[in-house]
Amino acid sequence: MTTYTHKKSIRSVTDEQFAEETVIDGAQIDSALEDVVDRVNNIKKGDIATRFTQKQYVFGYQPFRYNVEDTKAYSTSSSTYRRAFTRFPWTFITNNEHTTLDPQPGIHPANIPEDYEYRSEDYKNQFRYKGTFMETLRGAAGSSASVSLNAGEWISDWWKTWWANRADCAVNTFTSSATHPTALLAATSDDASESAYSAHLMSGSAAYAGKTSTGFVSPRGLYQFAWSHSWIFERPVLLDDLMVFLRTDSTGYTAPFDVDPILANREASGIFGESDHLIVQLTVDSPLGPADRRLNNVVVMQHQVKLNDIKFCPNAIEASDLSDIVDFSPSIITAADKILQGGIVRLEDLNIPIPAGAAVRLGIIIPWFAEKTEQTVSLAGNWPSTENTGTATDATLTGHASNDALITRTLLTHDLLVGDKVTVTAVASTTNVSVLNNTYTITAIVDDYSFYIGVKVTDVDTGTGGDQLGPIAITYVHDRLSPGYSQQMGWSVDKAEPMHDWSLNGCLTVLEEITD
Amino acid sequence: MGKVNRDRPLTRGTELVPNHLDALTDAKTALGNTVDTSQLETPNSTFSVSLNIPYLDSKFFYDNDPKGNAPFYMSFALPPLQDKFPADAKARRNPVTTAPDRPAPPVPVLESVSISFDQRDSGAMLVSPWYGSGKAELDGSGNATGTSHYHYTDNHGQFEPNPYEGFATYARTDERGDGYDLRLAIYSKNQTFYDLVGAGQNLTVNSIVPTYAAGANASHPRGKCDLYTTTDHNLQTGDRVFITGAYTKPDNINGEWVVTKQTATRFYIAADASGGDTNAATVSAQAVRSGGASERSFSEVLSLPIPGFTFATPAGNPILLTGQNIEFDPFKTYTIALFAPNLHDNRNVHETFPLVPKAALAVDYASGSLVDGTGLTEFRFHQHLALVSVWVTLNFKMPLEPVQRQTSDTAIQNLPQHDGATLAPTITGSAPSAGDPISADHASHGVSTRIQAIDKVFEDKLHGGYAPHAKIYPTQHIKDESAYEVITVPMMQNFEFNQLTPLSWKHLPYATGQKDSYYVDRRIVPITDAITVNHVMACLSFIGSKVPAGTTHNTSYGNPFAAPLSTPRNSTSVTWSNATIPRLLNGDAIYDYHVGVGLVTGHAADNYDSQQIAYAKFDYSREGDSRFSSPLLVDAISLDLDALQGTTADTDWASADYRKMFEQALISVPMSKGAAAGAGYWANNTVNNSPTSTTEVEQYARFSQGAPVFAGGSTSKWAWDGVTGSASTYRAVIGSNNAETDAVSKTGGYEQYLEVRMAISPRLSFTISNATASNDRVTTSAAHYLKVDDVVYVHGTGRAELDDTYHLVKTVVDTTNVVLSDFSGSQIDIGGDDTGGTLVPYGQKTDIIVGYGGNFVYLICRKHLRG
Repeated sequence: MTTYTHKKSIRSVTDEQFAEETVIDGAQIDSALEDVVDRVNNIKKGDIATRFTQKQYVFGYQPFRYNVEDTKAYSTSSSTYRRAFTRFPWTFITNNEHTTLDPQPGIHPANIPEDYEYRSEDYKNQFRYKGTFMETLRGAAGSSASVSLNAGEWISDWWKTWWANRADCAVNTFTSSATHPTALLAATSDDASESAYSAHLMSGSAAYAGKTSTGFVSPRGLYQFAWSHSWIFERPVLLDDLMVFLRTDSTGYTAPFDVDPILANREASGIFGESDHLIVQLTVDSPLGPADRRLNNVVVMQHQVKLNDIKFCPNAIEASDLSDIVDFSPSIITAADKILQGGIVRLEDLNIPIPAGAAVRLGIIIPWFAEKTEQTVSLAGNWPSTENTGTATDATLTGHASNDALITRTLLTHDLLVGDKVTVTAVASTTNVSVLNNTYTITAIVDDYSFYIGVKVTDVDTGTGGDQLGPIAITYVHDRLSPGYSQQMGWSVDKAEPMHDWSLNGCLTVLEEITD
Repeated sequence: MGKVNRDRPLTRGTELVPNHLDALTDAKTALGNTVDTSQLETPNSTFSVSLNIPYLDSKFFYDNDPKGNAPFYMSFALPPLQDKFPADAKARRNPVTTAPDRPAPPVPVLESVSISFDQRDSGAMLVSPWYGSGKAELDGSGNATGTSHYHYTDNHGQFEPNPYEGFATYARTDERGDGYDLRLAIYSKNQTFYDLVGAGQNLTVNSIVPTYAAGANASHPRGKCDLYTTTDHNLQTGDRVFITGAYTKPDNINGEWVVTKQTATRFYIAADASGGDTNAATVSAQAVRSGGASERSFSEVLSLPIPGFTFATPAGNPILLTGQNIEFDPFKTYTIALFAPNLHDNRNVHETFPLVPKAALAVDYASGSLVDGTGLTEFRFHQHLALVSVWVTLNFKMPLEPVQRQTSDTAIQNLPQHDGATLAPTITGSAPSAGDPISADHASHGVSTRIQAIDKVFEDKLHGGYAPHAKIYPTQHIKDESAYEVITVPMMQNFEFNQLTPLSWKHLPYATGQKDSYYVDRRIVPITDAITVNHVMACLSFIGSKVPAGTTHNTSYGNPFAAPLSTPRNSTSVTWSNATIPRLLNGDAIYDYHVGVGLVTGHAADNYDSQQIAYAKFDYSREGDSRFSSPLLVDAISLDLDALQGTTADTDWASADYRKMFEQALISVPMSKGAAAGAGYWANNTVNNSPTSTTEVEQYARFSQGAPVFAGGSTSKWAWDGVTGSASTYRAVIGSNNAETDAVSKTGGYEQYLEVRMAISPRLSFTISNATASNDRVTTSAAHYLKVDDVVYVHGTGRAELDDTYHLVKTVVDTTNVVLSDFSGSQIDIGGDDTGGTLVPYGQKTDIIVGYGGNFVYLICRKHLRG
């Protein structure tokens, strides 16, 4: 039981009080002096206003970069391309069946029904961080046909097969459509270019029969990845300062972060830092449920950080001023790179108390796009064979007009999003090629092989004015996977243009009290 | 001031006199700017050594020991701050009798250790880039029986990006243990130069006696001789000695040798001295111990097994292991070693058909053989694991110390004009004079008044250290207001396969291929509070995983697996060989390592500038004289991991074709101060084995390390209200390493960040005298010391087939002639004669330029109390 001790004094060093005209004795003064001496000789940390010192946790690395041409790997007679060598330290921010090897933990595979649907509750912490969803990553607002975000298949069948058993790609890995032709036949050679292979698929040319494409491998679902850090402190600390620096320069690490694939309608803005896909989050585990991330307390959140707004040097340095800067050794060869460039999240004086023994988790979250550079992709498809008179072809789909034309049976998965622009080219000679040869906007996605475009087909016999057309060629710019994140901080096995990389550097500063 | 003593207790009835109240006077004094640690209930500050490694995977641990007994490790030291660094290092052993010039340094105490890594918050384990690759069978002793493990199934002789990397698995807990079974160990060792029987010791050899001539004894094919010293030499087996002044035949034993055996005044080296000039009267050899055995003499300070089930739930990561309470020696080197033996999946998986369909075939786990699996459902790849985003943090405490001030002994560069000086607070009240009545409320000497004045100090709280923006408090109470701090900065991490080899050099940005053109890594650290940087140290690591052993290569320079063209990509295996440290045959180091630290201002500002505060350029060989001759080398560390090739057996150190000099080098990066820049760490480290002093005290003294540098940005460049000096005096001058005279820092008192840079550059080039079409030879004007399969870069010959391209050495014709090939092994056909140009050596394709997991830079600073 707590006992109450009455304090006769408002003083902190002693309870003894002395006043004129009162009776005191030596014992009282002795007690007071003893209190003073004890206090002066044993100063508590609470008596000290400046009782903290800082500790800093520094991390960061400069990714290894390859020119894509240097990633050629050779078979007996030809080449293919590899790209990244590791995605580490970046990992998925979600736990689901598509990011897990044995997708039902604790259950023997033999006991998993063939038609078992994996549920989120099968996974601990299906979502590791809070508030990471971004409409601009998922696709056009409100569209159910947009790309999946942190859900669905991460590895395309092609990639999986290529990795697991490259020489035995004779199996049809594109199995989802009976009408879809066998894409990968016996690997007598694998040197066909994508465009040539696409042409083969469209034309049936014998020249490439039985050969495989060199690439065009992409994740099907878009996932966000995090570089995750966690710390635990023996004593209470104050989170004081957080820095996350995405360093770029003009020679080695040139990521422009300039593309916002949906909002900018997939056109590179050409402005540094237009991408706003960075999330920085600092959370503290719940003392009652430290294993459950749903209970985590988010103490710092930077959501959809637009790097252009947080440039290290917001103002351009004049050349004359640059020359005045005396670099230090080892000096930076390129004069413009003497100054630090890139986007920096710097949160000072946070003053966030963390209890002793609590785990603090930092997530630096980025989308895992594949490429920076635009790449024209060619597909074969089929122009609508039936007249669309204004009735919705598929009432379950939203987001497209009822009289939009349905393009079907593309010969490879199309990887398109609502809002994408595709250019249609008639393959066969028709009288209305000029009408068909146009650029259309996708209004809805049906599946991997079908989508709607915003044009009304009123006369199947004449298309939009001519003869009915079957096979068509579709081209689009394939840059969805590419807002400038690099090979290690972004992934591709595509062959494409040189990489645009960036270097990451972070530091967490905490304040800790002096101790015994 | 220290504690207040009060030895005259009052009792009831005592007549009060002024002296009875002396305690109040003493207390007032003790609360001036004199409060020291003896008065504090909490006299220690804390600091951490925090290593972050992007990832560690199973192959590293397996390559270094298939049984899992080899760790990933990184070394560091916690040297005293400069004002505590004794000029006589013996002070640490007996500070009383050796009369040190300054107090013995305080000792850091390890309190706790924490470990964390990314498990995707799931209690699962994450598969590595090597998921799915093969495993080597082990023999009865647990040793690997082949070298074809870690290839990507039987269809992959080359690396393919692994789509499953980072996937979670729950299946790696079995009878062998848990995939995430870890052990954290800390080892300590004497620093190479500090060991009192260590380097720099001059020994006079008065007799050289041949024991065996070369070939005379099967156990000593190179021969053997005894050297007798005039005094006890204190050498150990494995030490290396550097001998000068001797002349023997057939071997000239001048040079560096390994001690193979010893007694008190006698030691052996593997040299043939038979028939030579061994007359003691004419031999006056000086043997200088150049280190060696001590780099492998470790003591285990700590060993913490961490069973994998610790991480079985998301709540188990990070973990904190408290109550360690271990004192660390400021003069020793420490190595953090992390063992992860079960990342490697050693379970049987069928090697030929790892991807057998479920319904048709299955693997018998006991035998690994293929069985009729009809109806069975199990199959799997090897689930090799990785530790991702690993943090290993050692948490220390250490007593607070007084702030560093400007003194003639230890000048502080860039210090604001307050010079660290403090003003005592005014505490009212005074002692009563003799004859004064003892009053309660007298305005100056009343008992209550005086106690109230002291009470007010506690009510207002005590102050010390630095206020924000590098200001000091107008008055302060605490004298011991600063503390030890280590900022651990990772550099050069996450190259392909987590280490850097010459085959990858071409892909690095910045580097052109020519001599001294470097790749540089940059990292910044925010200056959140004022610090004084006392030392900068760097651990350069050469530990590695094994590298491909192909002899010819794909045309792709960057093919990391270097699978030979003659082997189709569905070849069955990759053969791995040990990694090596890059050097030429003559022992020259091939790379320079540059470490620089600067102050930076310019974030969100119109003005950008930087200021050098520390710099070092280090190369690791020099064993022509002594590899330990660099004044920058603090220590050399080797745990003798398997993957880094050892020195050729039974060959004298000096003439071995390959020498494993160490696995990690701990170097000092002296502080810059213009012409007075620091030059080294230990005083006796001079080049060419010529210690500047023969006295022990001076040999083991602190070398000129350069004056510490204050770093703390100000909103006002004066950094102290009331100081309005001229523009050249608002901060103490700072040295420069870029040819400028000492001046006020170019950051002008507004420094915001510390920038740490580490660069690597090829340090050698050979002038090409001729490129000859008739025999495709490249001729150097001096001996090139190249080996077959060395990577070289050619520039300036005028031959397009040679210039600005990386080649391999196909044939070493003689000491000045080589024939080059491309990376497919095809000889370079030189189309016409030409002259001039340079050839830059890059070392063997198996060489490790940056070790697995990267390097670390340690900023060892004094920090200050703050609110």
